[in-house]
Parts: sequence; structure tokens; C-alpha cells
Amino acid sequence: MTAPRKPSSREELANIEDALVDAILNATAAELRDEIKDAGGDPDRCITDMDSAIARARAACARQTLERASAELAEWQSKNERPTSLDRDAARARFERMRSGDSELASKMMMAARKGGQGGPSQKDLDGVLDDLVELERLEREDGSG
Amino acid sequence: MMRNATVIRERPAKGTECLGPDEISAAFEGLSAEDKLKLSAIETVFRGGTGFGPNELVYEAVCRALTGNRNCPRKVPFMAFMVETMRSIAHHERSKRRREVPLTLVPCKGGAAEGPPDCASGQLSPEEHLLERESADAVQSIHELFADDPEAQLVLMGWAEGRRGKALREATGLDQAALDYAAKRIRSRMRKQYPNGWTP
Repeated sequence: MTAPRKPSSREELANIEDALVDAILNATAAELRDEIKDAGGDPDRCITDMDSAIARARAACARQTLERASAELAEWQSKNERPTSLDRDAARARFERMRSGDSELASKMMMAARKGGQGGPSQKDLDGVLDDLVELERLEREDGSG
Repeated sequence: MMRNATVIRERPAKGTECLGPDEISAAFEGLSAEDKLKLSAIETVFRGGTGFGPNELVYEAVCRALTGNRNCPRKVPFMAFMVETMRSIAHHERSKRRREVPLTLVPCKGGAAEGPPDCASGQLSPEEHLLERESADAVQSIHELFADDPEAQLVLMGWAEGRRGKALREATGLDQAALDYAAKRIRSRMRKQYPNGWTP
């Protein structure tokens, strides 16, 4: 049987620290108050200080959460911002090129116009197509940059 | 109020069920005046050598708990979790500060430099060697603080060897009441002697 290894000085210090912490955890409120007074402190001030530290930490964490949420919202908005008139002009030009170069698409649109009886796709239809094109271009740009 | 919270050392294992943010927040709401006195006293034990001012270590520990940076396993008493969080923060802070300070060789009485030369054995790095020496000095200082109190010295020797409860009673020959009273004297004198904690 081997004798137990003597702890290193670091281990001894850590053991003393652990035991001291346990002794504090096992002390009564009255004992702790006496000890604080004995060391020249004010127990009520200690409690107020703890309350204040906890309240400050709560406020800091709430602020941090809010800042993070704001940053996430701003990022989401920048990705989903409404198309500018320049974006829409470019999309409109692209759409016109697609329509003029695609006889099948042009014929389908004429057919849709006849069935709708309003002389062609509505403005709402065209706006929807333009929005989709703007979004498509944005995604293509992101792919290109990524 | 929470009594007899055994100090924990491990981080929760993956998959351990932990308190959620609302429960952590409620746990802080539920701290009694006695718990706050204990947190204050324990902060004093850990704060030495960290660079934290009074109440800053508690503040930092509360932040880590509220942000989920540290998680409290459901089965662990909340005060024990706070103690471990403060210990961990203090340990990392001390290590960080120690790395920032260049090692210096301290001249011995004989004129030779006493530094980290004992690493010939390959067991200790220069930093570890220095820390071991500083720890030995700290342990000796604590013992000297109780030179007039043999019972407290006996308890400290037992503590240093990691003894508690029955093992400590057997090693010191003191009954539980005498041990409790010695622990009270140690707590009290240490708080007076080390109002800002001790290093390393």
C-alpha cells in the first residue's frame, strides 16, 4: 500500500480556499454580520452593494440584449429593404428585354390579356414581377459576393 | 436562504438540464439577505489578484448567468453555482494577468538567482514553478496568522490536506463544535487580514 501523495502548495491553497468558502456557506446570518462588523464593515451596506451589483448586471444585460436585437433587425431590414426606383428601373428594363426576346412569353402574356379582358397584365401583376426580379438580382449579387 | 451548499467544480456536461433565463432571473430575485452576505464574503475570498474592485466579481458572475454564458444545472443549488462561477472568473482573470507579467529572477541571499530553474525535472513550467512558490508563501502566511491559535492551525493543516467532516475530526482530535468554532475564528481573522482576498 502506498502512502497518500502530499498535495502541492497550489493544491493546499486551493483546499484551504474551498474549506473557507464552505465555512462561509455554512455560517449563519448572525455570525456573518458579526464578522463583517468585527472587520470594520457594515453588513447592511454589504447587502445594498450586492443588490446594486445585481441590478447593474440586469440593466447591462438588458441593454446588451436590446442592442443585439436592434442590430439583427437592422441587418434583416438591409436584406429586405424595399426596392429603390433605380432597382425597379433596372428590373423593368430587364423584364422588357426578356419579353422582347422570348416569343413564347410574349404570346402567353397576350393570351392572359385577352382572357383577363383588360388589355394586358394588371399594374399589380407587373409590380409583382418587378419585385421578384429585384429580389432575384439581389440574391445573384449576394451569391457573386459570397 | 441556502445552507450547506457543497462547492461544485465541473461545468455542466452536454445535455444536462439547466435553468432557463426566467428561472435564473427568479433565482436572483429569491436571494435572501443572508445569501447576499455570503456572496459578499465569498467574493472577498476570490477577488485577490484578479484586479476586480469590490462587488465587481459578483457583477461579472451575475452577467455571465443572465446572458447564459454560464449555465446552472437544475440539480445544483443556485448559491453553489454562483460560487463556482465567481471562482472560475477569478481563476481565469488571475491566469490572464499572470501571463501578462514577465517572469523575473529573484536573487537569493547567496547572490545566485532564484528563478524558475527547477524545471530540469521537466515537470513544472517556469510559470507553474513560480505559482507553486507563491502558493507556498501564501500557505505559510496563513499558518503564521494563527500562530497564537493551535486549534485553528490544526484545522488549517487538515483543510490544506483536503480533510473535512469525520476525516478532519479524526486528524485534529476535535469534536464538531470545536471545529465549527475554529472555522468561525479562521473566517473572521482571514476577512480582517485579507479584505481584498489573497494571491495567488
